[in-house]
Order: sequence, then C-alpha cells, then structure tokens
Amino acid sequence: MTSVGLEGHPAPWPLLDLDIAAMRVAGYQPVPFRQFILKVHSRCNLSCSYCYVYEMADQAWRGLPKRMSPTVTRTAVQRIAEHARRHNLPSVDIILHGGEPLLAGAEWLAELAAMLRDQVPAHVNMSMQTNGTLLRRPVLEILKSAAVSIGVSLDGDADATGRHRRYADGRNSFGDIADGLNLLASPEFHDCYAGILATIDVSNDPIAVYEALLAFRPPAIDLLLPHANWDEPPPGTGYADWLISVFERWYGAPRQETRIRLFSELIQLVLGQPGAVEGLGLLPSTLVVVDTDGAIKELDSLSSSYEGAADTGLHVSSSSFDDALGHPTTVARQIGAAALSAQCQACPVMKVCGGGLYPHRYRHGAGFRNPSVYCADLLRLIDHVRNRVARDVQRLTALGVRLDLGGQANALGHRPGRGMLGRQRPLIPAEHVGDLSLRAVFVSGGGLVEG
Amino acid sequence: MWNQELGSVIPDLREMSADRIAELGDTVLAHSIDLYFQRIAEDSVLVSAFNSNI
Repeated sequence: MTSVGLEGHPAPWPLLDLDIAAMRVAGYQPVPFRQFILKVHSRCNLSCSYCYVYEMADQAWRGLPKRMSPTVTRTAVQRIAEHARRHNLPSVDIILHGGEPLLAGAEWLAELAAMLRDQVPAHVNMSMQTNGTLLRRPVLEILKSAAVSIGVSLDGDADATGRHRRYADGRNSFGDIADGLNLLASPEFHDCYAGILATIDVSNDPIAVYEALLAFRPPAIDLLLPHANWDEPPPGTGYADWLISVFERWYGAPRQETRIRLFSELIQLVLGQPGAVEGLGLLPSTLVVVDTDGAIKELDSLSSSYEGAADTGLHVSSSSFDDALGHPTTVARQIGAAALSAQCQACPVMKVCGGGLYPHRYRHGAGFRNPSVYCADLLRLIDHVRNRVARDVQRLTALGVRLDLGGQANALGHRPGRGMLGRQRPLIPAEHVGDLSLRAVFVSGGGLVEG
Repeated sequence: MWNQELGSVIPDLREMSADRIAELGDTVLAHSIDLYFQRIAEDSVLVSAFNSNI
C-alpha cells in the first residue's frame, strides 16, 4: 500500500490509498460500532487553550447549531437502534460529549437517555464527559436518576488547571470544577462518578498533579497526551519522564489508590492481553461520532490534524452507521498492524504501542501511516513499565506453582476498590470480529495482517 | 509469545503461586493480575474505548 497520493491532499493514506475493495475480497469484515459519541451541544462555557474543537485546525463548530435539534436527536437514536438491531449488539455505549454537554440541560439529557433505552434493542450504557463547572446538586440528581455516569476533565490543582482550563474572560475554572467534583465524590453521587481525565502539561509537577486529582477520590484517572502531530509538534518535551514519575508513584503505592487507565491497560498489554483503550494496542476502534447537526463523523480529535479530517460526508438523515463502516478512516482504525507504518511494523513494541493515538500519527501530505509524534516517549514508557512489571512477576513466579483456573471468571476473586474496572470493559461478541483466524489474532492482542 | 521479543521476558502468569499472589495484597500489580485473569476468562473480545471519555 505505497502512497500514491495526489499532490496537496492532506491525507492520501488512508483516504486515497487504502484499497478497501481489495481488503474485502481478502476477507476483511468491518466490526460494528459499539460506542456512539453524541455531540449534543456544540458550544462550551470554557475556552481551554488546547481544545481540539475550538482552538485547532478545524473551525467547523462555528456553523453548527448550539444544541442537537429534536429531529436530529430522534433520527440519531433511530440509527443507533437500527445498528444495534442489524448486528444483534448486546450493548452499546452512548457518550454524551460536546462542547459542554451539560449546556444542553440535564433534563434534556435525561430525556435523551430515556429515548435511547426505550428504542435501542440492547443494553445502553450512558456516560458523559463534562468540564465539571455546571455539576450542581439538581443536575446530579437528574443524571443519577437517568443512570448517566460522569467523567470530569481536570488537569491537577488550581495552578495546573488554570494554565489551560479557563473561562473566555480568563478566569480559572478550578474552583467551580472542584465544587462539582466534591459533590460527585460524595456518597450520594459516587455511583455516577466515572473518573477524571487530565491533559498533560509537562511544566506541571507530575506527582503534584496526580495527588491533586487523587484528592477528589476518582474511581479512575486517565492522563492524555496533548493533541499534536508531525506538523504541529507537542508543547514541550519530556513526556516519558513525566509519565514514568506518575507511574512509579501509582504503581509503588502499598494499595491501589485509583485506576490510571493508561498504565492499567499498558500493564495488560505487557502481560500479553489486548489493551482496551484507543492509543495503545491493536484492537479495532468501534466508535463513531454524531455531530450536533447530525453529521456522522470519525474520531472527533482528528479535528486537531486538519480541517475536515473527521468528516465522512454522511448524515444520520440519509445514511446508516453501516455506511460509515466503509469509510477509509474507519477501516484504517480497525485493521490493527496493517494500518501502521513500516517503522512501526518493525518495532519490537508495536503490539503494545499500536502506533499510538491515530491523530498523533498525522503528517500533511502523507496522512496517518506514520509513527506517533510521541513515538520516542511511548517507547521509553513502555520499556519502563515492561521492565518494572517483569521484575515483579519474575519474583512472584519463583516458586513455579501452576494455578488451575479452569476457565472460571474471576478465579482470583474480586478485590475491593477496583472502581471502574468492571464497568469499563467494552466488549463485543466474538463473531463480530470476523472469521475464526482473525478472532484468534485479536484475542491474542495482535491485529489484522496484510495479505 | 510476543513479549519474548522484548528485552525483558514476562513469565506466564499461570505459573504463579497462589500464595505469592496473596502476598501482593491490594497493590496495583494484584489488581493487574486480577484483571488479566478476568479478561482471559471473558467469552468476548475487547474493543478499544474512546480515550476522550472516562
């Protein structure tokens, strides 16, 4: 699949060069979508400096309606129901996103949740990612009654958060977010509390950031690399060192204080299991976005690469989600190692890293078949985690007594304080991964191979 | 096993002693091993979660 891109095309791979017809002949079958991101509101009450929606290449939000219209909402729900029915999905994940989803109104969101649960013939897991500034008791009571789990974005303490997460008038949002998080962490609402997402700023002290997040008693944390690519390099350097510092503080604690998704999934990959978060490993992506105007889009954060990068040209009024399964970007994000550059395919940690987050591979004029712009940092982090875990496991296996698990789930028993581990495992029935040979590859943590 | 391609070889966790696992208490490694065996026992295939949501 050598690039033969047209001059000036921002992403010839995969948009021009990926021969999907040939792949289908060779046995490729798309994996149905399981995660539907509904951008219910296109505006935000914050003006975060690193936001891929408002501050990066794609400014299409300016032309969007503020809130999803009743017609688009109804049609999107029908399309999700149609997809679930057609593929006999046991469950779907609905992720309320924005903009700031709470600007749509908590009652409106609860009505949407009820509509989805009424019409979609599958179990509906509802979650929301919010900036946290609007989380007040009446809002939380409505969301709790609608069984919506809530993730909050926060970058650390007041200083760390204030570097980027500010209101348009420059005020730091930390105080308002902290008020919301303290309510969410209280026993009354803790069942709705999914965790905290933090975007890394290497100028913040890593341990201080981790401990500031921990103070809000999150069941889970994730640490996101700032969106960057080969044309727009990351702000600053030292991401591996920063992450390793947090890893050591977290891993070395006498008890697990929270789950850090990036590290938790990295350990699974190092142990030989597939990692269950995009940006690591080679599992197929099954997420699709419905924008506020009803446009069906690819991974939202692609907007950080170039204008229109997330567009599919499809709309819920005229296209099913199956139509989006055939889009080159969807296919590229489902074919594992076959989507990676030659450099990645030759790399000893390829199956752990998986090439990194898809938008981070972008280079103008070539597209997305490149190593991550964070390649060196990922390599160092993976090497560190692998060595740390290997040392401990080798010590534990010294006695060499084999456990007979007998295929039983939870053979070692559930441990207290596992937080979101049980809930945050998006699963698909094995038959949706295609034929048995491909299933075996996915189950073992690999990806589809060319040929 | 792919991990043998790496500098550090991760032993087969099924070779671990139950007593040694118990010694881990409530640590991150204990949770990780727990999750490892849960996923082995799952009758489904994992997919990758959206990372801009937790």
